[in-house]
Amino acid sequence: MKSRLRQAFLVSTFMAGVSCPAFADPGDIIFARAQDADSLDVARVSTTISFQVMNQIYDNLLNLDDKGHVVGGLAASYTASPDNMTFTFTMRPNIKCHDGTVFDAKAAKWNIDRAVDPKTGSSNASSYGSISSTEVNGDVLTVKLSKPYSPLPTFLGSAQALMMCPTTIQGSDVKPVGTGPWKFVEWVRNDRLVLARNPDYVNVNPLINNPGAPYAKRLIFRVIPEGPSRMAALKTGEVTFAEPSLQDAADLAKDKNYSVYTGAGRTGQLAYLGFTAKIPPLNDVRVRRAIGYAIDRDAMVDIGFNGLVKSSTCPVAPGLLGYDPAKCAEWATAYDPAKAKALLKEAGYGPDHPLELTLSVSPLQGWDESDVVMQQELAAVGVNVKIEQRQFATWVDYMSHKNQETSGTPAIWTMGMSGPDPDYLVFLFQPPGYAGQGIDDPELQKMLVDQRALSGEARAAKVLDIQKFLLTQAYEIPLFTPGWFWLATSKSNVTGFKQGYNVMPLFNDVKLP
Amino acid sequence: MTRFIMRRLLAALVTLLISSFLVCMLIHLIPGDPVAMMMAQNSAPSPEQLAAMRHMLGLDLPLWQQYFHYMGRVLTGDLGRSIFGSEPVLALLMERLPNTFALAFSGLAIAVGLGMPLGFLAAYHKGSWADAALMAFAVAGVSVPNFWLGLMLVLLFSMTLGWLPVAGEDWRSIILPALTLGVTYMAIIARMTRSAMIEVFSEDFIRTARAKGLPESLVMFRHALRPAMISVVTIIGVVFGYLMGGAIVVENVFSWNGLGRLAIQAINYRDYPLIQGFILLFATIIVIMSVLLDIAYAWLDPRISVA
Repeated sequence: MKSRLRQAFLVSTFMAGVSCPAFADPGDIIFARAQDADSLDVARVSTTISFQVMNQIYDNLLNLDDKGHVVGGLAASYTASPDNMTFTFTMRPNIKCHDGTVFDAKAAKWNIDRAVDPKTGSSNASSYGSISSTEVNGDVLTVKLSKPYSPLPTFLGSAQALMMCPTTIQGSDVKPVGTGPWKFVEWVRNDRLVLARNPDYVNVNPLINNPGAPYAKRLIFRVIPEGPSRMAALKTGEVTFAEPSLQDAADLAKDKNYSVYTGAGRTGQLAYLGFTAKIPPLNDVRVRRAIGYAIDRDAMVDIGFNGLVKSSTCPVAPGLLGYDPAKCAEWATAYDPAKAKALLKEAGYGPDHPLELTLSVSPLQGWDESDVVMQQELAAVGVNVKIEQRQFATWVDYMSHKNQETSGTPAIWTMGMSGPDPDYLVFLFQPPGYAGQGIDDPELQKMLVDQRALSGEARAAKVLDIQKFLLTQAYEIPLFTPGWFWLATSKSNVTGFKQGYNVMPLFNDVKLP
Repeated sequence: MTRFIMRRLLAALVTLLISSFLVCMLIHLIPGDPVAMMMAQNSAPSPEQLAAMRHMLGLDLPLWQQYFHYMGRVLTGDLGRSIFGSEPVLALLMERLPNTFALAFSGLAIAVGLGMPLGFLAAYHKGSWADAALMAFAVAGVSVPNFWLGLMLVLLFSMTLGWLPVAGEDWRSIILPALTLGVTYMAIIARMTRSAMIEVFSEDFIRTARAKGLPESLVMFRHALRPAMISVVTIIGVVFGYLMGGAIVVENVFSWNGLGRLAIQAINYRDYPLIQGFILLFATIIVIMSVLLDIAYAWLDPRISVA
């Protein structure tokens, strides 16, 4: 029996060696995260965690500088017609994909056509506007729209609009081929995703200093689900970067041996509270505003997030066009329990007739704790809240139906949205709207359409009008910013790490000790 | 013996058929529209896409046809494609199966290698301070949450001593998760070995063997150990089943890329083809384990094979 056990142990140890070969190298950047990407097909995913990887492999047609201005990318320049219905993009010459094929105007056209094709089912399709045609003439790509859409260039600078080389899609298989700083090597799902430096890379992204190939040899995304294990791996030097828990981030921020990265003010993320606004009494603006007055955002931020996020009263995230915290503060509900109670009384609710609500959420670190804070704050003004958690996929499906209902148990819910442009308000509020939160109000819908035809200050003013509507009608109670996948940490002797728009990590400038 | 094995194999086949039917019907137990739910998170599916997915999963067919459709694919090695990533389910499962086998065997080897001698010694010294100490150790092993034990091992061997990786990629990375699992299940095996040995020690044939003047070592290892093994083998089979099902907590702590983590991810993402594939594979492993256990019983006690 003993010899059999010995054999079993030896066989199993051998198998472990075979299945997990040693491959880590001192020249590697290893980023430990809690979750894996869903897919490396830009048109098929919408999660930050996936875009953070794709952003290393693929480039954008245009880029955004540190002020949010649109600058060249794969396209050296672009023009927009005065009516914002025709855009032309002049490609940079001699751009090579990782497999040696050429990335030209035809490749850019292929990406856009595929993204807006209903057969693809891309959740980002609406962010391209109403594209009626794409034409290639030499190195110029012309995109025509049937309706004005000024946010298109900004959107093309976002991770949602990364450009894959057409050889990426081979039937139903995805073999990631891009033009970016890192080449795809290997992906063992839920374990590791290995990329190698693209030695021929020429950088034009103004957020990056390094003009050529990244300094490190390889970039490896590792999945280590447990927070304590990620921190142990960071401290022992097994990984270069790690996604910390909120507590670890707060602790490491005080330790000079570690650097904590919090999004560089470019996250574009906003967390907010929404309502099943068709179900009474949440169809009454007084009740929605009462709930807004009951919420102490600062307590949610301090208790739920250890102060690692900031409270916000704007429906648009900081740094985006139309973000004006002073104006938003005028229109939004500030923490005032007395006002909350008074409004609830007006609407017929009080100690003898408490309002009963469900708070529908998806579990996420920081959010779970702040949801409980919110529950207690609402209890203090006489609103009884039962928290219901669902995994995100189920939550989206559930809310898509629940938000359309006109009777039943009223629900409030929390969600996060991010993007490089306030046009995501269309994605959220144009019926049916993401997770069914579209608002059937002609005034709001007109403003959402109108802002797409405007540019610059005029558009910023229109975006402010939309925010005023949302805040005074309390269709949305902004809570905090940012709030998901925005934290990273490394030892302080690792330099050059940056975070681009929408918490896209940038490793081109990273130098290892 | 051959008839016994054939009978067991036939029973195993029936079990597998029932399992496959339940797996096939699993998707209908979900409240609401499973296809809409599984496609809700990462795309904005058109009605055509929903219909195509329904067709791909065979959900547009009558129930009995769905089963034959499903089995037709399974028998040709096609378990479908995962919703997230659109990869062949069989390939995903096979990629992780060696890792799960490796961890399960290593953990079991440690559990058996430590648990059986401890149980044996405790039984032999029944009632003594050594028995109490060994069993206290065993109880502690089974009582300590493996999540905590794993982190303590990381603290000691990775962070303090720097001997072993936390979640590395080389062969050494199996040692800590195997030790965590081994210590946890060692306790169960030690307790089972102890009680089985104590029972056997009180049997007439042991008293006879001693009365004949056989050396104590011969009485212990030749006469007592084998009959005591039947219940120990049972528990080893159960433990191995647990380990193959995915020691999910330990896999997460040590970032071990096994089947358990894959299954949890599939459940979180409502990736039903992958969940179905996992359950079917797990059921197959358990059924094979049961057959092997039955054969082991028959080898340990030939009366079983003629019963």
